[in-house]
Amino acid sequence: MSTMQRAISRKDFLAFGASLVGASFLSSCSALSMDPDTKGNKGQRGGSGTKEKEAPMLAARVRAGELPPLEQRLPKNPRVIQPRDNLGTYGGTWRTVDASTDPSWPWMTVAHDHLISWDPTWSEIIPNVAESFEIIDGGREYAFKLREGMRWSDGEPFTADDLVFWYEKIFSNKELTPVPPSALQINGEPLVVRKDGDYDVTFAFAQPNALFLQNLAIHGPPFRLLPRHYLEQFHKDFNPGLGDDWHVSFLERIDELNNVDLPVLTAWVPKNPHGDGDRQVWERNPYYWKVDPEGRQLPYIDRVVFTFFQDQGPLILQAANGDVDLYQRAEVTTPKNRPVLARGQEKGNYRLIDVKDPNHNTMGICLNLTHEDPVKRRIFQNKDFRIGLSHAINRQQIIDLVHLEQGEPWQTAPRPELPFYDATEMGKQYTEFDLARARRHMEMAGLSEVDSEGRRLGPDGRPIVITVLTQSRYPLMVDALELIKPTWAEIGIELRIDNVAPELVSTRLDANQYDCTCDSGELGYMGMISDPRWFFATGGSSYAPLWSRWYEGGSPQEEPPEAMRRQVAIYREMVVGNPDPEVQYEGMRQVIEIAKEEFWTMGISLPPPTYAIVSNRMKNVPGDNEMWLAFKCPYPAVTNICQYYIEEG
Amino acid sequence: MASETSMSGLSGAGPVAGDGPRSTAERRREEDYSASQARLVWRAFLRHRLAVVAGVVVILLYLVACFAEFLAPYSTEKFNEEYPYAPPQRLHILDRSGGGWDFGLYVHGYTSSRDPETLEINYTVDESTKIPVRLFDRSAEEYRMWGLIPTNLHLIGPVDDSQPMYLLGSDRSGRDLLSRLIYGTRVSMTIGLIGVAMAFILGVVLGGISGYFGGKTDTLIQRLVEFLMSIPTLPLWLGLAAAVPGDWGPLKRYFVITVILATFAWTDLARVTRGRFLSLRVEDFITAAHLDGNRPPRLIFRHMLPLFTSHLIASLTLSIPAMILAETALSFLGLGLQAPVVSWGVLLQDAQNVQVVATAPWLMLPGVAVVVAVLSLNFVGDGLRDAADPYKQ
Amino acid sequence: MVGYIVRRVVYMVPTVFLISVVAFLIIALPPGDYLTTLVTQMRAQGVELDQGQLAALQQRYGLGEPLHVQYLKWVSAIVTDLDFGQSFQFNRPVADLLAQRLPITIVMAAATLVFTWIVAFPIGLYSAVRQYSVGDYLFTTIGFLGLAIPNFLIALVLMYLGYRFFGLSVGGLFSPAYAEAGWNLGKVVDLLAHLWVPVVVLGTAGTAGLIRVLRNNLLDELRKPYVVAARARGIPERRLVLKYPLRIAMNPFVSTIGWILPALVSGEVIVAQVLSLPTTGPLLLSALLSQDMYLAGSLILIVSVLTVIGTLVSDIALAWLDPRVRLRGM
Repeated sequence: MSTMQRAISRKDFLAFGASLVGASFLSSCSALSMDPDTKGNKGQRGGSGTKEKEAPMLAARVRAGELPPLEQRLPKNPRVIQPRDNLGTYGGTWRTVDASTDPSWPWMTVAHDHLISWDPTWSEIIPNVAESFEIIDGGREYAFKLREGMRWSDGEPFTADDLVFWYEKIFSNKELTPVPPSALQINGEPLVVRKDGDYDVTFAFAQPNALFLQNLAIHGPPFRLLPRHYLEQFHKDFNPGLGDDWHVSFLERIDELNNVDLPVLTAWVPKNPHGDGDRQVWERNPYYWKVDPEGRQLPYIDRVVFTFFQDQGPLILQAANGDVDLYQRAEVTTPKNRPVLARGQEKGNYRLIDVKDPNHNTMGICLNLTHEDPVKRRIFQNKDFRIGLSHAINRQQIIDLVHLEQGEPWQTAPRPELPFYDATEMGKQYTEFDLARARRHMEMAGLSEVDSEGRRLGPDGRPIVITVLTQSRYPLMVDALELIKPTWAEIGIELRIDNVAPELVSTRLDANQYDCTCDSGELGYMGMISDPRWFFATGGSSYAPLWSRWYEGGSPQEEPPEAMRRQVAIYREMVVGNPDPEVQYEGMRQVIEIAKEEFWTMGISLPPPTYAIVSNRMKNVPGDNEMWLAFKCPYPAVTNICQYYIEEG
Repeated sequence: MASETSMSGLSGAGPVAGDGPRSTAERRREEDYSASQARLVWRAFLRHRLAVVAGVVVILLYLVACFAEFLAPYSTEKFNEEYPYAPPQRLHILDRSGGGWDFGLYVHGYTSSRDPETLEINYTVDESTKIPVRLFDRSAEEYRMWGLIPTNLHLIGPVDDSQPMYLLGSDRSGRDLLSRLIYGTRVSMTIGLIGVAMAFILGVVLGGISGYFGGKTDTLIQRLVEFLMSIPTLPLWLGLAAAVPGDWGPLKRYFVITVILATFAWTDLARVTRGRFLSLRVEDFITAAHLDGNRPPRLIFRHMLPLFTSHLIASLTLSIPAMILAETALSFLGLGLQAPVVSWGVLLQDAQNVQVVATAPWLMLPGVAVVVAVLSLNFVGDGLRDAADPYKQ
Repeated sequence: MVGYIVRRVVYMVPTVFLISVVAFLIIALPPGDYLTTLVTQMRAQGVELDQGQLAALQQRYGLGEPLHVQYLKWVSAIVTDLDFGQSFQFNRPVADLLAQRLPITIVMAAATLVFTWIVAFPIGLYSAVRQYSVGDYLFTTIGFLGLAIPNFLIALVLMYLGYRFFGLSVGGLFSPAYAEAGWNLGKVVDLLAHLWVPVVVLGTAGTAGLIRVLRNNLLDELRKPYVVAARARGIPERRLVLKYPLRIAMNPFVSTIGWILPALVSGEVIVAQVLSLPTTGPLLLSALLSQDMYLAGSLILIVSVLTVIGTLVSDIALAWLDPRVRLRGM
């Protein structure tokens, strides 16, 4: 009977009516039951204590002869994870949700296990899949030692050959990788992967690439660990019978979220494609290579279930109803949604924990410093003009109204928590709301002419109008700009808001067709080391498209001023070129100092802490202020989600 | 919206005319020979009482749109950082707190505190503070009536302008919802009118041609209609919204899109008109007029169209609510008007999350305005349609 | 009759072809393509796609080619293998996505249709027979309310009330506890507990139109000489109304079959979006917003074809039911 019902998959909606009738005839006893019929699922309750070495559902399969015993499934030297609080019990389902089709939440949870990882406090890179690693020759080479006896989720061994296969057959194949990702090359020279033994691999660059490991530790790494034994059959080199567009289907095969047949190394294995769109179920990997200090195989939790929503409303209500075990996302766990979620805590048996926000600003205002129009460009490039504008913003008012009195005035400077730089001075400069001072700076910028209506005139004799391009997904920015509009008008600058779809903003930025735009001030913490976009114009910055292309490559481009060229030189020399953290920090300090002096962009305020929804039945989970909401360091994955466990209260 | 219009189209194409309106018409004309057709329609319209009431409401709405500057206590942009999400105040006329009978308009002030856990501001009405309010207030900000006449006369406002008066509550920036609602009326009730008019003209002309000439012309136009009807509007909106030049203002952009869309929206009316023409052109009096040597344009506009003018007016009336609903729907999807433009749809954008339903339900009031406008226009349209053929009674 | 049907079917071919072209053009209208969307999305997450990754993606999705080449590829695959291409944002064949969502959409459409009929029929009948009575005003007002309230507002309020007072997670079609479970009575009840919200919201929007049409047609019919004659002969009022006039006035109900599905697929995006229903509407919306061209193009094509077929079916049904339409030769 239970197999009968397992056969009726949830996707068989076509057969909905038929199965309904069929089920009620064939299994009349349970068909009339009002309880959820979960016999088909393997989410057994653990609860049997902390003695067993493996999950009951796997032990049952071992007994049935479907799986080899635990010793044969674990590597010789498994990674030992210290549980945060207690040894866990096996079983249960981690229910989570997401409000987007993009894969970032799975990437930050179940799909994150690479050679190395950030430690749970986001302070150092530690070995993960690799048993150990060594940085050789100032960041020119990276030697990884793999775990002997480690296996893919289908039981096949994971060895150096898998990495060599990736390097030779995927990375070096022009059809699969037309241009190598920038993180895997240095000055146009792609990396080389060398096999030094069955469990020893070396990644070598032509010059030091000190950011390699950090770039590997983000939520969407530049390459993933892929199984040679499975993929060979889809590769032209091994299977000449494949058609001309084999590379397209090959790329679909290596999509770890959608190809459920792809063997993986993660704690849970997807049971249905992510692209199904409404739910995705992940089930424990019987060959997972991490154990707790007692040698018990992880993960503790049997299954992870994602329910996807197109809209936040039902998601919030589902959470408030207590149907979500752990979830955070910048767009959802916002102050705006806090009241409803906070009210539901007791009834829904969950709590909201504080999560730190690595963003340095609620809104970075980016004047286009390489404006097409030479007049505007001259005005915008004038530092005094920007200082004047900054003084003409009533930041406290914006904080009170738009950000619910949370946060403090802050420029686009690093966050105060940053360990290697005291940002107070930079964060606070020019933040006082002082219209007289603002006017003085306008005059210092040579803009002293004002017409009869109080509008300040540019050198061409026309009133200065700044159209701010905003993304419709950031409504709070429009609110803030509405508050800036009257104070800028006081000093004679007209602000117009052009609120459009985010894609349109991207297109206009790339085409250099805008006066000014606003961006969430991301990367204010450790992430800035590998992406210093707010301190000089890199590819991700929004304030000087032509200069950022000078750094990044591409056309049209233009050489930035001397100060920014100096920043680039320091960054390349001391941060990219040297793996010693102390040298990197010193390089960053110098880069930031120049940015402080040049004042490329201005900000509004420090973002208030964000929060995560955590149900009270989830144990070993981080507490208040232990997580960051960061893509560069994917929380909660780095907090060892495999040692979370569920205890029904 | 789509369904509504297509349904009305079907009703017209259904088995209505054709039972010799001429004989009945002759009889009626003997009784009411002094009354014009317009008067007869009017008389029949008055019998539909709900429609009459609705008609008054519609006129009121357009008056509000017309005199928004005067009626709104504040401008749409005036914010107050001390009163975000302030609940509506009750307007009192009589103060008996002193024991006596003290007539005069006033509202109570608020006391507020922020909940540290939920970050909400909790307001309580402070019965002890009394904020006097007066009609024809002159203390508030200046404006230019219709952009021409400078004045500062507002229908209602607090005597001391620094004190809060939020008769319908405030939004997240402490802006007065009543004022925004009033200004929103102007945009929402008018922005689509040109588009509606264009669709109307296209529909009548093309439907008329199709029905009058028949044959190849008819087949061609009908295929065109079928083709246009089968393209879903949503992708059209999205495509057009992105294709219109980015440096146009939001209002202009939206206006242009409604006009372009009008070239797609005429199909329902064309079908109705065609059906009418098909049945009319075989009538004896048309044949007679034709034999008299009348040319097609004169036949169409002089002899045929007047027979169902009222139907056309009715269908025009019914397409205005569709336009209002379309505006809110598109704003919801983020494709319609965008803040800082103030329209009902934009105001409802603030109401489109559960948080508002739970904590600030007054922000759904623009929805009530939409309901009132759509209902009244529908009843007016219905009344007109009922009255359309006065000879039938 | 047969000739008429054949003629109409033949006309459908160029229409559908034109639609496919227009569907493709609409998607190509906005500047940029899916990669723009992806770049924007990643940018917001602090990940900058470099030239290399972009080139790889462009090659993978075949986005570098001229528009007409892309169009021909797409159309020929549909015609030859019924292959609708690949969805970029879901990384899945479009056909798979449709197979998951169309059945639910159809179930919902059917439920909505039935609901609409059940509500509209008695109100329309009553308000025609008792024109200008208090009941007429009351019921038509109620009927029109559904049309007048913006759909997303009803959906939001119902959803919140469901959560607040019944502890229901109204979004989606199943509670989390039942989503994985096999079919049994509990699951059916759970489905119904979720289904009624969208059905009511979608249904109320459609009833107003039907009420109006039924009322008007019935009023017209009741004034016809044959009804007057029948009444003069003393036939009871109930039989008088039900025998012929009602049958003719019912025509519009037949026509609703034609448009209900297309309307649900594309028109009711908002309700499905608010309630996060796994139907095709939100799929179309997100495909359009992110310029997922094959998914959007295929959905538009299918919706359009459904509309064309729907119109044809309802026209044929009308001709079959009402000889006058047939004899007029359309």
